Amino acid sequence: MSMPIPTQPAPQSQAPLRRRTRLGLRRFSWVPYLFLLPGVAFFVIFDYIPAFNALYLSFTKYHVLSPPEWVGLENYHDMLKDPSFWKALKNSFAYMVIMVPMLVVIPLFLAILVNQKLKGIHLFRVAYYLPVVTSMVTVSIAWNYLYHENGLLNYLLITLGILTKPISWLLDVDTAIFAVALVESWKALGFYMMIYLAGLQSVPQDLIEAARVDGANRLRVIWHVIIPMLRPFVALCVVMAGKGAIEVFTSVYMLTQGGPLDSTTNLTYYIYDLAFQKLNMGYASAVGMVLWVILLVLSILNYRLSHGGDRLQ
Amino acid sequence: MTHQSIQRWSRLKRMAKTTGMYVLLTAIACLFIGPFILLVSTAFKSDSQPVFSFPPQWLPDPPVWDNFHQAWNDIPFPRYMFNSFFLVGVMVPLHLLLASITAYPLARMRFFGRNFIFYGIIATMFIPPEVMLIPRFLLVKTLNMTDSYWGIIIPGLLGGFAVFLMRQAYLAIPRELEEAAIIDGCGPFRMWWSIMLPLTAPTTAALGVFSFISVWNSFVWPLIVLKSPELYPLSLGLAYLAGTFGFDVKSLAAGAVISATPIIIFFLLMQRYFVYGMQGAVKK
Repeated sequence: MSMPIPTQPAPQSQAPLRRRTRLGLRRFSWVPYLFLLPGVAFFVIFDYIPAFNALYLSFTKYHVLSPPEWVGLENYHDMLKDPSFWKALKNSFAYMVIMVPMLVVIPLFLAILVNQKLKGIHLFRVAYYLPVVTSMVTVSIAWNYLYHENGLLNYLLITLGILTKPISWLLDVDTAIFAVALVESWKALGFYMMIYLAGLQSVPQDLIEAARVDGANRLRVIWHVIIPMLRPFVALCVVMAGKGAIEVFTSVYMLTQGGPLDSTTNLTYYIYDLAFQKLNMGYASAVGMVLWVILLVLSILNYRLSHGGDRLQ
Repeated sequence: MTHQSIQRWSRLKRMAKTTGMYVLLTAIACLFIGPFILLVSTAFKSDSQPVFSFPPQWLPDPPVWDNFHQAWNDIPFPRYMFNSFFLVGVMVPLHLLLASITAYPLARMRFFGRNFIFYGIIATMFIPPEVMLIPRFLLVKTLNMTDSYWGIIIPGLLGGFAVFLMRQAYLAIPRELEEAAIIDGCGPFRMWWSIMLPLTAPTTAALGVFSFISVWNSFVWPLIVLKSPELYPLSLGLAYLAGTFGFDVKSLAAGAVISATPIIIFFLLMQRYFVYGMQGAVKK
């Protein structure tokens, strides 16, 4: 790269420069299309065709064994009268209500904590991030032990006097969804912490110092300087956490299988159950469309908040 | 108070503050690492030691390897391990190559339909994977690839976000480098392979790390595509164990420890790329 540019370039190496016609238009070239071919083919085959197929299937009765049969809006009609669907929809939003505040507030606190200049601080960052990289299956197995009636959680809560008798966290209709949401949130805390950490590192240090010189204490600096500066990151975390809460699946599969009494079944799990256990692909696709609409709203918000929102306009 | 004692007092105060901070940080670290420690402890407990008891027995006494032997030998654990490594070994390089070759012209070339193709790819990020499970499964079934490695590998090779991220990396490279290479007679393919690819290495590495984690931990798609247990990756094999009635909890813990160890080692080795990748993903 440090080669000197020849003063008299060889004739053939001038070719790319001569591609412009007098009107300033470039001569047509197949090169970019050759580069794009495999990728574009992939997106067409594995994204676009299936996406339209999902929409089509939602208007059919399809139980895999015989070809799909067009039934118009019947699936959507059935959905309105299907208590399991409403329960799943309600639970999807319940996951959001439980998880979003946890994933927006706690990671902010963690990020401020690990953004200090202390020896070995990166070890703590690594420790807090560890659950993010571990598989949900492993995490679920570990928490299954914690939630056991004779497990550690009950022991601690009884020792501290918070509980008088042990609770079967995952078998109790009132607690199961909280137990699952807690595992999902716990696993993701480190991820959101890193988002805030990226945000914190963009807060100008002299702004904080100026506030300190003016006599603001640590808490006031956090509340009046740091948090307002992080507002776009807070918004991003709200949307991403909302999306994450709607997409909860593996923990439900591992910890409760949707039970007890459907109290942890959300739309994602319901679609899986309908399509791959009951082989009711048409109806499952219609439920999928509802999930799509919810996630579409969140994705659009997410895209505009995170990257390229300005470029899309 | 003398000047000296004030100095000593403030130093003491600072030390107390720092110590308090470390105590707090460590306490929180326990909340994140604790469940894994519990898993390891359970995995080493002998047959005679209870897993659940009031008060709990924290440490295995004596620690034994039996559970690991059982998890490793009684079920096709080595096979699960091989499957996971195989999937990562095939999928991650192909994913990076495909994302890179797709993103390159979108960032550095001018041609008819460029924006149309770019937005078409970006739009796929708005199609949730949960909704795609059914039609993709049916597609894979039509292609006769269910219950095979191909059924897992091929649909997972590319995503809109990867193209987006790589395109951002290409956009950041200065024009002059390209012009210099063109003058030196460099063709478009060589330009991509020998000049642009090395220049985007940090982003490619970050993407590779995330891809590694997501392939290693993938669960839902293999669950749907695979039927034969001998093709299961670790995550699925472990779930299969957990669901097998009567499989004892200590061996399951040992299995969980075995399957988590490679990814944790990988993470510890690659942690700086995580930070880089997260920042790259957040700041455009």
